[in-house]
Amino acid sequence: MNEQVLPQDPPAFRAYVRAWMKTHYAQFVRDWPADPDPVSLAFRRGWEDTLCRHGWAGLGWPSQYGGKALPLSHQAIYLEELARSGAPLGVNLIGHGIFAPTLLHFGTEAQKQQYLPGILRNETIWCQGYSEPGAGSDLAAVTTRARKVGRDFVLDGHKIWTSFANLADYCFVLARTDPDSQRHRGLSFLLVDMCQPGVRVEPIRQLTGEAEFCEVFFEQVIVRQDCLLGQEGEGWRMAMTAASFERGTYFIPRLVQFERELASVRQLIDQAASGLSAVALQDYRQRWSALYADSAILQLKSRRALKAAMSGSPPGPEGSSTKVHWSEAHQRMLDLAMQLLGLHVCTPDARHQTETEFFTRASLWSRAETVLAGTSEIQRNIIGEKVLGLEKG
Amino acid sequence: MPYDDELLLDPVRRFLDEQCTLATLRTATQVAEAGCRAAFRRHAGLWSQICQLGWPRLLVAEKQGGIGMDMIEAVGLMELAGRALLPLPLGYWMSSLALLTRLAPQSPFTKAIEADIQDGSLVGYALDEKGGSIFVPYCLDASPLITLRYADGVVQARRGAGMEGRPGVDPLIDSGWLPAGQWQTGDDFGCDLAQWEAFDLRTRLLLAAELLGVAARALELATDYAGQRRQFGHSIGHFQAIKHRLAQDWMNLDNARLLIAKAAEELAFDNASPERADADHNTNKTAACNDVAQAGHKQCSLLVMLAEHATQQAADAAVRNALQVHGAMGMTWECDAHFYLKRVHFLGAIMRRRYTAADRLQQIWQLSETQMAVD
Repeated sequence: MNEQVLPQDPPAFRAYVRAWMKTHYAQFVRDWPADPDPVSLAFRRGWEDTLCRHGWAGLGWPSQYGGKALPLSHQAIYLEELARSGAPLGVNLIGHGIFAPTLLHFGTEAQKQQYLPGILRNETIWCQGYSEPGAGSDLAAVTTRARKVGRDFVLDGHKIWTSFANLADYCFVLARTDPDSQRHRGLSFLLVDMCQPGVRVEPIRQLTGEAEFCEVFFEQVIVRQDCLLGQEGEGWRMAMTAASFERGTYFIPRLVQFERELASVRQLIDQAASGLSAVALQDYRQRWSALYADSAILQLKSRRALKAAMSGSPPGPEGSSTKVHWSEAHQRMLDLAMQLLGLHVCTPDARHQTETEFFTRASLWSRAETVLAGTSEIQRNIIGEKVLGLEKG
Repeated sequence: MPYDDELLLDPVRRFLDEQCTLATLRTATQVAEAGCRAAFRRHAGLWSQICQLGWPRLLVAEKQGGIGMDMIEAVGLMELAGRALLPLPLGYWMSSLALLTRLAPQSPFTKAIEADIQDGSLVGYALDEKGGSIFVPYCLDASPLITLRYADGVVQARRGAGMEGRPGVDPLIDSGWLPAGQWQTGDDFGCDLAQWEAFDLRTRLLLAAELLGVAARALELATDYAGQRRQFGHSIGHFQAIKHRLAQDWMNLDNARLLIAKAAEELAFDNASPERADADHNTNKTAACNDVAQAGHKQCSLLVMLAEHATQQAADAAVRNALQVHGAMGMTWECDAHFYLKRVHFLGAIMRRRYTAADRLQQIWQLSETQMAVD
């Protein structure tokens, strides 16, 4: 691993990251053996590997595990600059963003020694086994069972919508270890090797044509006692804690992307202007301006979340509000982009090919954004119940 | 709230809870409806008390004998004023006194206004913006009227006789129209455009904060009602059709509050703003800051537009939803919800006089061409 000496001062750190990303991402694209396709999993993995090879993983981890022990404020700067470079998100987001901090928090020393190095080097990809066919929004309805047999567990169940499971080496699985338990009780967090016998992954072809989501079947999978993370029966609490690790930073790359796309949509309006009636032009501009307001608000929300996370105050309902707002505004923006592209969405001419393909894919994919990681409906329930104190549904 | 300065705002909240209750305001309305002569002086006592507490002087610098607070506290106070449906032009006076005491602290005109505000005898602030008849949003007949206009590097401050107003959509406020050219005395003060524009932006932001408060209180009433009213064996807030409406209103108002706070931060008095440079008599500094000030001004304009846009949309939806959630009760005079709807109509009309929603979006389109609102 290339050990870099990182500037401590935030503006200097930002300048350093920005310059580094600019040079190295350009070089990565140049060296990519095929047509660079930032949407493809291979490209995303390749870039993520490059980042990790140069020491850009584990920024917040303690140094004893190979981390940089950087404060959250620096991690936020890193994520912002990474996104500004135009590089896509990686494929081990769950490993770096959710699992590693959870492991550092709840894991035994042996577990940390076993799993952290692989994440740091991006050699082991992680996925998250939460949702099931019968447990989506109602996550506590998990039925995947882990029976105690001797000192080990035998895992049986069916997970679904598992992102990156087709690439993953490991999955952390929320399973019912107490067969008599109900709802949030009796769940545990198990670390499962995806190469084990009894694990089967079926990619799900999405409406974009790609397959990032998968179904994962566990049939009589032996999970050793030392693959239990934390205490037995504490799975629900740990899942909630795991989700909170990203709260200060989750939206940073997404909001940078939002701003970049918004700037492109403005260009689309300018390009289309001469062919539009005055009324249509005004309508497009007004819709763009309203999205600009959304973008400003989302930035302020993201900053507030980061500040709250840095001060260590417990996660509030703001995350739900940001999630709803971002996902719905993003859909509005991409709908606007599709309308501006006009007939090119049917078949683009040569000049419009790249942007049309980008916006078509983004627009179709964005329909998932109001569903994944808690639907807009669930998020509004959370706000209604946790903030306003309305009766639980 | 992001600007909740408890030290300052707690006493304000307590005062308004005690002295500006809806019961008090309703009583004043009944007096007005009975056609009683005293009706035209309603709220005069409340204004006196508020003046004695020094709230209109909140933004006057300490060295000018003011409280020396900044915009972030001022928007917090105005949100509370909105929540309490304060039927008085507090925001106008906060920003006008801040301007006059910085431009011409020694002028007899300023001194007279300060004295009249001190003893609560001055209430009326006229909006002389577009020529023709002049709108006076809050009238108390015996109180003189003041207006501030701007032309060619000069603030024209004018003073005229008070007038009787009458309530329109909002039964708690008497307003009126003044024929042009009714001013009795006045004074002119030199003022650069940037300084005037900053004054204008601050005034508008305080109005937006007031509107936010009105809507935020309406949402609370609706939420309480949704928790109490039972149908089909549940409180109606249990049902998502109601719950999600209210959750959305909460999000919209929270968004508006974030933008208002951000704009207030940008419009603070104690940075390299023209006021400060002027107060320091540091003309070189003013010249050096010109470019920065111009960029800063564009940024402030953009943020105020965004804040107004978000607040107006959020408030319009929140008060309407508040009525809907109250069901048939919402249509009654007895239920408080209608006062908030009416105040939103009242403040919204004043805001739209300057910019309609479409105007604002057009401005945002233009101002955002070269910059992001939040860097």
